[in-house]
This record gives sequence, structure tokens and C-alpha cells, in this order.
Amino acid sequence: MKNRLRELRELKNLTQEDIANRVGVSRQTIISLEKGKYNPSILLAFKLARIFGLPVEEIFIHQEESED
Amino acid sequence: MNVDKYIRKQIIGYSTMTLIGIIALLIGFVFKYQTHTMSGIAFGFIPAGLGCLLILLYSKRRPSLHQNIIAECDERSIYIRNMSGAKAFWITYWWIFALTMLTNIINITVNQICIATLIFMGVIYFTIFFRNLVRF
Repeated sequence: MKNRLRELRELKNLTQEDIANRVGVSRQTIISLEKGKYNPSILLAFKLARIFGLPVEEIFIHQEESED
Repeated sequence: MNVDKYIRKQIIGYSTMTLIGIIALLIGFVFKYQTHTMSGIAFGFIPAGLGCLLILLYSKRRPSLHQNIIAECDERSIYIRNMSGAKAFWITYWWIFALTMLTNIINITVNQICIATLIFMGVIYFTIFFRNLVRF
């Protein structure tokens, strides 16, 4: 699964720490999400979507051919 | 996971651990039943239980310690722990199966199997845990 987290975060001039604090996870989780190493839970995906004011599917892009 | 709920659960767990140690100590030294075994349980459970309990209580006053607890409740940490636990379970399952087969060939006691399994489980769990920490 791909995501636009880094791009959107930079657009809003937010740090990884800011996002982490707002959604209640560690900064390491945000780093892993941005690198595409870790896929978030539905709850976390919705919390992130709310920060950016976008639907979840506009932040997290599911790819059919991906094994994830 | 809610941090306060997590701390409450941990406190109950470590208090139980300490209590088991104290009960073992009483059984061993007051009732003189299996003194050697009971002292082993007591000296293992009491310091570990009390130590972790004190760390938890002390963490309320130390922000750096509290941050570690928050990190333990982190979604990714829980995912890594669960995944490592599940993998370690199945690897240990096959390890016990292999050891059971091996007992037909070599002479090995239950005690030796248990000690080897305890060491093996720990090594496997932490190896997978640290591998996943890098992976995710």
C-alpha cells in the first residue's frame, strides 16, 4: 500500500512529531508509515485523514498487485 | 491502547507475580515444603515483580519513563509484539515436536527439554522481535 503522508505533511508544514502527538502514536510509527514499511490500522488511518481533511483513500492508496 | 488502562493491567500483573513469590517463600520457609524449589520461585518472582512494579509507579513522576510506557502502547509496537509472539509460538511448536522425536534416539530428561525450550523460546522471540523492529 502506498501513501501520501509525507507529501501532505510537508504541505501543511507539520513535523512527524506533531502528527504523532495528534494521533497518539510514536514518531517511529509515522516514520514507518511514510516509508511504506508499516500499514496503519483503520482507526489510525481515519485519525490521519481527519488531520488532513481528506478521505482515507486519498491518503492511502491500495495497489492490487501489491502483496500487502 | 489506552495508557492508563495498560498501566493498571501491568500493575495487577506484577502485583500478582510478587504475591506468588511471597506465597512460595511462605510455603518453602514456614511450612518447609519443597524449600529448594520454593526459594527458586520466590527469588525469581519477588525481585522481578517488585522491580517492575516500582518502575511503573516511579514512571508517574519521571516523564522519560512515562514516554517508554507510551511507546509500549503504540500501535506499531503492539503489532510487532503480536507478530513476533505468533511466529515464536509456531517455531517453538516445531522445536518441541523435533525434541519429542529426538527423545527416541537420545536419552534426554524432561528437565533438560524444559530448560532448552525456555532458552530457545526467549532467543527466538527476541530475534524475531528485533528483526521486525527493523522491518516495520
